[in-house]
Amino acid sequence: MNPFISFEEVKKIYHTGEVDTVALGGADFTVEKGEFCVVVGASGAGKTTILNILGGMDALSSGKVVVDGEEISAYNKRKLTSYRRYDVGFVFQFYNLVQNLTALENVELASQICKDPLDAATVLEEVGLKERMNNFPAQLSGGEQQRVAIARALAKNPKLLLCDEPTGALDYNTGKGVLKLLQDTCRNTGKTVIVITHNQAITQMADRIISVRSGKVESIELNDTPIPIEKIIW
Amino acid sequence: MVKKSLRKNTVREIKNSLGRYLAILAIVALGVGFFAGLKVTRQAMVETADDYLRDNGFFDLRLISTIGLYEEDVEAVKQQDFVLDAEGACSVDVIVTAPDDSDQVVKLHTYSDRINQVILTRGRLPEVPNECLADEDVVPPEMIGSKLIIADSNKEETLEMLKEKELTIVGLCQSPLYMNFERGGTTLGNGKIAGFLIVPKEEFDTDYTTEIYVRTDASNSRIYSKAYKDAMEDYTDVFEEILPVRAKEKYDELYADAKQEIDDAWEEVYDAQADIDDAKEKIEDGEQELRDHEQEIADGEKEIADHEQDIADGEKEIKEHEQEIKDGEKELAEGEKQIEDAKAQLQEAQQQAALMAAFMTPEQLSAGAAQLEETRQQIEAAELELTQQRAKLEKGKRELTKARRELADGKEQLEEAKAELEDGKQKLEDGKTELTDAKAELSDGEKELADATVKLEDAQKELDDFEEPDTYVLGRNTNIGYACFENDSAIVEGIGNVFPVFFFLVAALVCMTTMNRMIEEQRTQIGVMKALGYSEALIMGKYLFYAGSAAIIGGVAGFFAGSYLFPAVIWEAYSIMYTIRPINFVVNGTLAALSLLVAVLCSVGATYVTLDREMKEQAAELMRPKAPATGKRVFLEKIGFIWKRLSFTGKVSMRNAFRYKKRMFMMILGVGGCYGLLITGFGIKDSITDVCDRQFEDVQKYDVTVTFADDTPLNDRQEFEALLKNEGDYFYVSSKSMDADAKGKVKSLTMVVLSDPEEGKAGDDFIRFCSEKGEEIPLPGKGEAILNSKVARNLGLSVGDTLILRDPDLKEIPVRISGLMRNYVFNWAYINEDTYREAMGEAPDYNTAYVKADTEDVYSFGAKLGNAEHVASVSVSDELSKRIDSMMESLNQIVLLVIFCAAALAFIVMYNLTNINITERLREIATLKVLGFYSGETAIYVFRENIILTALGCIAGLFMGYGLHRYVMYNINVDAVSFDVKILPPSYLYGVALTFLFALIVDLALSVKLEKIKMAESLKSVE
Repeated sequence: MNPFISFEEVKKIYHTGEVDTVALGGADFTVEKGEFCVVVGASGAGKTTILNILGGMDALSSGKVVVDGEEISAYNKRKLTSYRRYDVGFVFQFYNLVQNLTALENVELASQICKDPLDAATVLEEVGLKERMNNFPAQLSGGEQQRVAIARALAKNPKLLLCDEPTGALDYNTGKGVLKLLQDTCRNTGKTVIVITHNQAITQMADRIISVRSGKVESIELNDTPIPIEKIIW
Repeated sequence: MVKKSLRKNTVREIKNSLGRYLAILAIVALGVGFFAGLKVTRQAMVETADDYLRDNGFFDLRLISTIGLYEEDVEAVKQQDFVLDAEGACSVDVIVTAPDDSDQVVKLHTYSDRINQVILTRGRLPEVPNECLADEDVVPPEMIGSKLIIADSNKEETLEMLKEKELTIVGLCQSPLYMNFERGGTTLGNGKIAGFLIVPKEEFDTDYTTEIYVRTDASNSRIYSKAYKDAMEDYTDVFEEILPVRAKEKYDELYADAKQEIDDAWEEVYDAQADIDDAKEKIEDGEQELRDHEQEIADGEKEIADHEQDIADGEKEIKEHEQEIKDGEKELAEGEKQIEDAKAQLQEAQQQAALMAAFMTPEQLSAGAAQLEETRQQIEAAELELTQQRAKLEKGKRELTKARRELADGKEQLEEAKAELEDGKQKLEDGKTELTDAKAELSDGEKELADATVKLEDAQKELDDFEEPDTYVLGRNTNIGYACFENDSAIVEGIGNVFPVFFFLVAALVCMTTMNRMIEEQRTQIGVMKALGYSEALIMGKYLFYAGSAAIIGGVAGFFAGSYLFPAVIWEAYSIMYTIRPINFVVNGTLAALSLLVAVLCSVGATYVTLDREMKEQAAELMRPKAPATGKRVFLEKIGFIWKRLSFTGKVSMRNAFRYKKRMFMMILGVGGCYGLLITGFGIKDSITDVCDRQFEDVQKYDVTVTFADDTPLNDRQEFEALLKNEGDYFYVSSKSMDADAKGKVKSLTMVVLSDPEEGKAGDDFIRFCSEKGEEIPLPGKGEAILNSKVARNLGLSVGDTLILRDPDLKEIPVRISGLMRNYVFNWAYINEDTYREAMGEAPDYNTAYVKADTEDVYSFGAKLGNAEHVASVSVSDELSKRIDSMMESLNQIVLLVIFCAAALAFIVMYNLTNINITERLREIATLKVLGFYSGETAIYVFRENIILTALGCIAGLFMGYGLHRYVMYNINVDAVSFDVKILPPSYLYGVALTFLFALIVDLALSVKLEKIKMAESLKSVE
């Protein structure tokens, strides 16, 4: 059986004027379906590029990316948009909620464009925001906002949940709460979750840890005994 | 050094946000352009007219004297030290017959190359008296070369003034005397002057001129300026003193001359009378003589007859005598024969006796001898007797001869007498002829004398009637073009007050929002600079420079563009009414300074206010991101039934649209302004274009206007009336140009005397008399008049008020207003025949007929009417309407200008605001992209609020535009036209369509920018 996600010799080179910047110099890795995967690396290692490519937000210079049997590296812009729309749920470091929409509306914003969305209110209830549904982002705490963001990603009912430093802007405890939510989601719904972070500590909770350095995959570790988030301390 | 890097930063800033910079620049340019353009237009117009008039030597004063003006008057005028030039000129209104046989009233002016110079636009100048230049506005170029004939129907004194009666058009020209399309009124024809003609001075066969045109040093002052008006007031006073005195002197001189002449003539008449009397006497003497001669001749004849009788008697006597003599001779011859016979017998007897003597007895012989003796004696006695007889006869013969000679003498004498008599008779005949001739001569002389007397009496009467002269000193304001221009050029000035305020308001708002956004974006940077120790002034300087430089560049550009574009376009529209020349472009320094000041205040002021707020914060605070504005529920959400019905994106858009009050207000103001301008522009066209149609469809219901030759009696129009018997209907009116005088306020209008209603037709079948509210107005009664409401309003009159109508001969008709009617073109007063008759003392000359045609082809019908007897001219309403319509075409330029401004406004405001919106929501948009919104969906998500605001803007613009349109139309107060102030439904639709089109174009332009937004933006931290 083919892996759910596979990166084969993926290169990404940015051309700025006469300078070529190699962001990704041939990355190879796979992720299986239902895995909680953490991509870890220092800043500038190429993890954001991986995220961009995997999220269908950027094209690659060479190589091949296959997600659920579809070669997304061959997609055109429109197909990539559809891919983002139907297959990927995105969780940002800074939540990226629309300030002018309530929590519920933010979720609806995503769900209304999907084929088979989950009920926005239900998802919000599941992430523990039943009471705060009608609040505007500015009225919510950071953790709550990130929960709304996760709810927004989940409500799309995507194949893949991509999270970019989901705890980066949160304090320790709140960050933990959010990670727990992601882990629970992965366990409970069987969705593949990929978390991109520079925080090595988080790797302990992952099924698969991909370490990136200088635009290359340094190592891929499979963790058969992921530790529940509550027990991780950093 | 510090400054250098700051300057670099500033320049780079401008480069990087060129769109924003340009937006400020453009809105300031638009505001300044509008302000400067509208404000400078009047000045540019007045300066253009001023130059035009100065270059062509337009008069300052026109001096008129009813007895004419002479060379010495011109010299006297020139004596005044303020007079630059003075020149005598002639003008007269004449009826001319055009090649198409129509009669037109034209004004003839003398050519001058000094004062009131004409501008030759085609052809050449006239050289001889029978050549002329024609009015370029009225006469088409094809008519060059054709002849105009001075009609015989002109007044005698007019005909006497002119040398040639046929004028050939050799060129077309403009005249400063006729700046606008009005040509003025006249007492001739249909009361309107069709155009002017310029003829050489020699065409006027007079020893005087009708007027003197004067140019004074005041003409160096700007027209309509106070300096000019004041100077002219003084100069007018001067001539008002001089002119009457001179005229009176001239009058006295002329009067004296004329009187002398008349007296001399009388003298001559008396002499002639005396001569005639002498001649008469002589003739009578001659007649007597003739009669004597006749008697003599008769006597002579009788004498001759007597003589002839005598001669005849004499002849008869002679004849008798001759007969007697003949008888005597015969008797004598018989006597002689008897004697011969007796002698022979005697001889025989003697012989016998001798023979017998032998045989006979002596007795017998003696007896025989005795017998013979006896016989011989007897014979001798007979012979004696015969001799006596013969002597007697001879005597008788001699006597007869004498008598004959005498008779012949008598006859000769008689012949001589007869001849003499014949001569006498001949002489008599000659004398008689002579006498007859003399008599004829006499009667001729008498007749001549009688004529001369009559003439002389007329002359005397004329002299008695020779009134003291009136003189007039007329300024430029009596020239229609000049006077109207003062008013008309002020029109735009009124409009110029409201537009710029609006544009500057928008400009200030745009600057404020733009700079606000910019400063917000650069909070951190400001914070850093502050932390680095840059002074507030330096930091502020950057932004103030940014806004200020944009405002100055935009202001300068806008100033020049506006100063050029507005006068040019408005002037183009004015060319409907005015024939002047291309407009001067004026750069008004004060205006430039003022508009730049306002522009800089708007931009820099707005920037300063925004900056000032930020500057109060601490550096550290500035370096932290500003808390985003909290989402808010909008009012609409409280209205559940609407809110629930909105789609999700609809709700989002609603909330976004109303999120930033300032921007929403600006957007609505900008779009509303755009829409308002558009409907104003279209509305101006609607209101003006329609005027003609309304006039000729709703007010003047006739198709053709026919003007008859002057004084054609009503019963002499059979041919015309016959033409209309089956094909239409007609109605007679008398139309005249009059001055309406309401307590000193004077307006010129056309007075129409309606003929009395006949069966089946009355004035209101041909003209619709209805009030502005649509109520029918009854026909005017005696002493009443219906005026069009516009002229009444201008005169400050309402129903029931009285006014005076004054004709060009200063005769007055007082009337009371019985109704104010709806009317669109020109000014009118309608009265009835009684009113006219009472005031003027005579019936009106029904010189005009309004004609309704049954046929569709009014043109050929009109042409047919034109050929009818006594018809002087024909004008088809439709043609006039079309002509005015085509003139209105040039209004398209104004509409285009307005559309252009509206578009510029909409683009700048929408682009700028949407641009701000997008940059502000970069993250949000990137997130949407990441969430998988297709580009169309993203665009709609962003632009939907633009559409909502555009719609709201249109609604706001509806009110703004309605008001603006009314304001503009109210300020465009043209004397001759009442606009039907309205905006037609299609104009509203076009306005909406165009506004949305502009919005669409802006959105399309910005959707490119949307496309360019990188999704990676969503990953960045909040700045």
